[in-house]
Amino acid sequence: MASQLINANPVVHERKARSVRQPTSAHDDLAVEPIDSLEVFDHVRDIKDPEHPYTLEQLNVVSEDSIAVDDKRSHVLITFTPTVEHCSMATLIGLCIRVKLMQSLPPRFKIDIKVSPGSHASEVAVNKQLNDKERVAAALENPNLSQMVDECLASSEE
Amino acid sequence: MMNRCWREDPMPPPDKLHKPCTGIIAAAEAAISVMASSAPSCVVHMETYINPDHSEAEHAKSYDAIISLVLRGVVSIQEVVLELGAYLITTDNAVRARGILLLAKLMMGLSTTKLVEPVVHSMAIFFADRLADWHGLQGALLGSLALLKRSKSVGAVSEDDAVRFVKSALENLHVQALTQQDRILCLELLESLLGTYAAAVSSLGSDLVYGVCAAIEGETDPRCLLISFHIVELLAHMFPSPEGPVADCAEDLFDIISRYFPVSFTPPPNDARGITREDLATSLQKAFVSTPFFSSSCISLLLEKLSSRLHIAKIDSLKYLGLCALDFSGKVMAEFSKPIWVALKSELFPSSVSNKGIFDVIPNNDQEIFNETIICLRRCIKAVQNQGDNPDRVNFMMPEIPKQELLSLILEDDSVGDLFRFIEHCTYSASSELMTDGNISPQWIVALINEEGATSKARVMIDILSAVAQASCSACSCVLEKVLQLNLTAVQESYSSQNIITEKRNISTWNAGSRQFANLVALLLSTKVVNAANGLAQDQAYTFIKTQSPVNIDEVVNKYWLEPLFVRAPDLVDAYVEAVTVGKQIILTAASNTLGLQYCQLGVDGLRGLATFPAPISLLSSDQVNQIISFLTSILLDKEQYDFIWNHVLKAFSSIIATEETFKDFGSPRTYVLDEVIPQLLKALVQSKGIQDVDANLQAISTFSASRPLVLERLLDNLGDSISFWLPETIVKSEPAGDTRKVESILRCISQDLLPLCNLEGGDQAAAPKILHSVWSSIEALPVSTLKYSEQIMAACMEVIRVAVQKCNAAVQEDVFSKALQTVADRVNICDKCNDSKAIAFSKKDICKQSIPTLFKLSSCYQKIQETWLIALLASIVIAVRPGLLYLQEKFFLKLFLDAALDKRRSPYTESAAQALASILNKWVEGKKENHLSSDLLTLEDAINFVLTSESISPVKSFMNSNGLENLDNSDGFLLSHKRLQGVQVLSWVGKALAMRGDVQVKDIAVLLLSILKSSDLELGKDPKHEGYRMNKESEEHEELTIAIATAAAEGLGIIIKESKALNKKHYATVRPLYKQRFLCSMLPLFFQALREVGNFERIWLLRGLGHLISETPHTALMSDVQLVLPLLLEALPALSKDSRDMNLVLAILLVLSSFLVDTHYGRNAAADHVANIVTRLIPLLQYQFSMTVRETVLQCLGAVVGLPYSRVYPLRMQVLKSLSAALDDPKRGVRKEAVRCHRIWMAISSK
Repeated sequence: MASQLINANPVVHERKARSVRQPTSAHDDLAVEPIDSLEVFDHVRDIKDPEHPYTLEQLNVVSEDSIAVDDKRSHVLITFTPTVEHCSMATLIGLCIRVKLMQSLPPRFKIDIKVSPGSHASEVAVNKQLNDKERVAAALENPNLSQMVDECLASSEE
Repeated sequence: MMNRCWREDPMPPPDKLHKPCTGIIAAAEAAISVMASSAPSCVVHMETYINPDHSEAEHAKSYDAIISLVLRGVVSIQEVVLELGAYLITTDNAVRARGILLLAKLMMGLSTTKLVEPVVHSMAIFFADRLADWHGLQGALLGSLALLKRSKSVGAVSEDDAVRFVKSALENLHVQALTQQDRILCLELLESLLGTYAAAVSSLGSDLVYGVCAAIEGETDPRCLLISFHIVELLAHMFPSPEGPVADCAEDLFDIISRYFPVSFTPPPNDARGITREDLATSLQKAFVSTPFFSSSCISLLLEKLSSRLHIAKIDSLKYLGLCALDFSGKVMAEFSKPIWVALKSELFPSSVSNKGIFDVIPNNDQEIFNETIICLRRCIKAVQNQGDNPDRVNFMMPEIPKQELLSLILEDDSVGDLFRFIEHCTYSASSELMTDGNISPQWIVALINEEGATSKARVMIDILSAVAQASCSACSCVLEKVLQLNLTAVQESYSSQNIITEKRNISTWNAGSRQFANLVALLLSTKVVNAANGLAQDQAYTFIKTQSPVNIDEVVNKYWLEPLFVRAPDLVDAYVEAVTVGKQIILTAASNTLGLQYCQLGVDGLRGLATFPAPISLLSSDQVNQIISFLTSILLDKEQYDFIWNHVLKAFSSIIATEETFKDFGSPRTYVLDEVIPQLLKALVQSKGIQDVDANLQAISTFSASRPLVLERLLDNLGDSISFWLPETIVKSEPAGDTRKVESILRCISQDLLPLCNLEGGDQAAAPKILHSVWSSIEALPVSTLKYSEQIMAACMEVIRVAVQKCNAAVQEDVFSKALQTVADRVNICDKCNDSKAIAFSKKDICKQSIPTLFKLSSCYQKIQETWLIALLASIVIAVRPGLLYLQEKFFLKLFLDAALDKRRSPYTESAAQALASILNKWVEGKKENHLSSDLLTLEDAINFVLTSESISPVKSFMNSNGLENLDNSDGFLLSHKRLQGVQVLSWVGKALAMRGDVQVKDIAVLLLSILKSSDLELGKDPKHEGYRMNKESEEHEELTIAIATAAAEGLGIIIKESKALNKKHYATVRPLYKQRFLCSMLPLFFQALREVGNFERIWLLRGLGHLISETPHTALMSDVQLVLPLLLEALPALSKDSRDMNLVLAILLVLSSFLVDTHYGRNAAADHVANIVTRLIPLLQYQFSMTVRETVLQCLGAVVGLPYSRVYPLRMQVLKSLSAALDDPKRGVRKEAVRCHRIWMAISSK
């Protein structure tokens, strides 16, 4: 990690209340509850930021609105917003999100992860890097990187 | 050193041994005429004890021998002393020490034996002297203590001797240099001297004080400290005079004990002495407040420690300060008013916020410190005010508050001023200097109304003011005067313009305007203060009631301090009512209803505060209270409109009722709720149509009943009446209509909420019989041959009857029972009248005396009774009666209920009948033979045999002999197998009754059930290959029945061990402790044997039975048999997962399994051998289609598996992860969430 913090003083936002959703049809065991954006958000909201002891939700890096889910076509698109434009942690955050979703979503899903337009200096490069299967796999082979990812995901459950 | 010690010893050298000047020996000689022969046995033991080379056990043995000799009077203590004489003065230090120790121990052993005065005196002289003997010190201390602890009746130490002890102790004991054991003894010695002989030892004056100072200084052992603090306390009480020695060296003394503040002490783990930090802190606190001479240094110290950063120091300082304030004189506290206020204020407002506005959000403090500070503040004010609190003075005029006093400091504080100015300004002009744009930030409101967490200065000030108002009468009077004078105008003024504001602006955007905000602040302030005043008034009235006679409470209680409140009470009532109305409007018009809700709650809180002033103190006129009550009632009766505030109102009513109950015997008692609200409530219940209204009314009724027995009685009375009005109508309707639902709800409310509140011993005994009467008489009044009726109502009636009978005493139960029998008999008579002229009649005595044949006639007639439910109602009574009521008539009832339970026509009620049967057997009272003919007498064994051999049960038995269906091909078979089904049910209930009693015959029944399972070879689900040749409809029905019988047998094993509504302690059942464990233990071997004998299909049935049995057993009881049970459970899981009817069983088994997996002691050890087996059995269940709960539980179990040994778990990782990825795509969200958690746990083990 860089000796100097990239964003030394981030804005911390309030956490949203965790709504416990009642099953839509408690009596009907056959009714299907499709995967929706709130559920995906529940997976990623508690990922820890690599350089601060805050979660991505607190830093407003991801929000429920920035997640688009299409359960039928098995597709998820997550748009996240790095806290500062030149954030070199953006790829790491993206990697964390990808790993977490790979573990949490059924394998049939295709996951697209993007930084929100205009929020990052090298937007195209980051997007390309995050959605390149080979490079993601290679990154996870790297013991340092995979350790950092593990740390970020470690606290994701309270 | 040793020699010097010896030479200094005042004891004479051995050659002068017999000279009378040495106290102890002389006394002994004086007391007895010297005898040449003292008991030789004593001497032997003595020598053993004295010898330091012997072992501890030998010492103890010899001591026991000596003391028993002395206690039995074989040897007197004087003789012992004479024998010991040489050892007590020998120059051998070790021997001398043992000698003294022996004497001391003997004195301890004789602590309750009477000794003559000269003996005690000489002993005292001896031990006081010996305190100087360094070697024998422990013995000397023990002996001294034993002497000093003697009570007067057995001969205590005289006062002169006590002084001798003190002098010797002060002179000779250097406490700090001693070991911990000796220090404790020294301090105990001082403690008992100061405690018991205070008057005598006080003559020593300052010597004593200095001596104590020297003794306790620098002590660190917690046990010694506890004593030291107590010594300081005793010392302080001994010298209360300002010229006394304690006053002189108060500073030194306080210096010594103040070092321990704040107490920090962590008891070592497994500490047997059980001293906690709290013990030390409390006794130190007592020492702090023991004398007023400590007060100024004490308060300075506490204030200094309060500024510490240490959390515990702060908390302790606040606690001590509050408690000290109550004990020190108000004068001292008044002197320290300013520093105390400054210190407390800095705790309440962190220094960083000094320049912020009063409504700005300030970071939330530590809640504990905040609460302690408020409590401390209240105590300080109470202390200061009590000093000048002369009740006569506050009667007629406001006390003058001296400047610089705590109260005036608070009331004149800048923040309070700001708060009041803001309210004033905003009320009269549209905005104030605090907010020029007139917009309110939403955080301001949140910070204002939050109970915890982020807060604002204004809120803290409001909390302070309410704390002040709760402190003392005069303080409350001052605050009320100040707050109400300012606010009322504000509250009223702003309401008048309220409507315009709400209409013009959208509240949800929070720019409601300063006026509205000021209004909220004013409302909050007045509500809090009113409730604080209320709390104080309640306290006062309560303590008054507890201490004084209630006769003239009106005259004696001083209520004039509430004058300012009651002068303005009418305006306040109006304001609060208005607040609720306005709040409701805001909620109706705006999307965000936090603000509106706040208005409503504050309004209701205020009204509650006004209405719950204890009657003797309240100055509200009854009209005013009526106004409040009727307003609240209107909300209560209109839940639809006031849903958001309804529960709050219900709570308010609860506390109003509770106040009425507490002060019912004093002054002019209030019964507004009883007289006004309850009739209205009942009227509303009668008139209500919708089921929601009924539920709301019933909820209110049950809440009210819980608050006051009188209310409960009244409600039960009235509900009983309305039941007898409704029941006859509704019960005959077989279709559920609106009324039916209502009556059912009322009945359920009575049986579930109201009747359980009745106390058997209390004064409300009449309530349960009354309800019973009204229910029974309305059933009795039903026309003959009522065949169509509502089953729900009947079931609810049965429950009411059961609970009500249970709440009656024995005599009433007997009455009820005979009445019920009479009803049944009447019905029989009516059915029977054509062919039988003799009517059967019952009176109360008949139950005992009716001849058996008559009863049997009834039982033979019962077949003719068309109203099947009559027997069921009778059954509910039998279930709830006490043992012994049916004495000698059991046989009849056994037969009656046995027949009823086996009768197919009565199908909804067979279970009740079976329960009644079980209840009779369970409560069986063995009779006395001599009083009756032996033929009359039925023993329990006979009874059980009667049930088991009766022709109705025997089909069950024949079932196991016949092989399944073979005997059932005639038409009789169909009926027979129905009887079998009922018979199995009866068997299980009888089994339960016997198991609870601890009767061995339960085993026979269990074997019977087991053999049914063993001979069931049919599959539960339809087997496709069978369908080909089982097209015959009749045989298909037979097959279904056989399955039903086997299922009933499997469930029966569960019933035996399950908690039941009908058979339990409450219903006077005989319950043997641990009967479940016993039953399980006796069953397991049988199961294992059976499992070895049978084929595949039967095996599944046995596993089902085992599943029922195990799922009802307490999990802890299973732990000892984990090794045996676990493989069977694992076998059962896949076998039972095919049919949806086994769903609950599968879930129950999984729960048992998970309890094994988390049990670190037995469970995991056993599970470790089966890791692979567990995982392979669980994985297929991830696709269990019938229930998502099962899938979730499977995932939880899988997660728990990771806790098993790593080397066995790790190889399964890939297999589990692969199957989990399918679970991640589960249709249910809850399952997916659980799957993610489980997935993470299994991912994590790779990195170990």
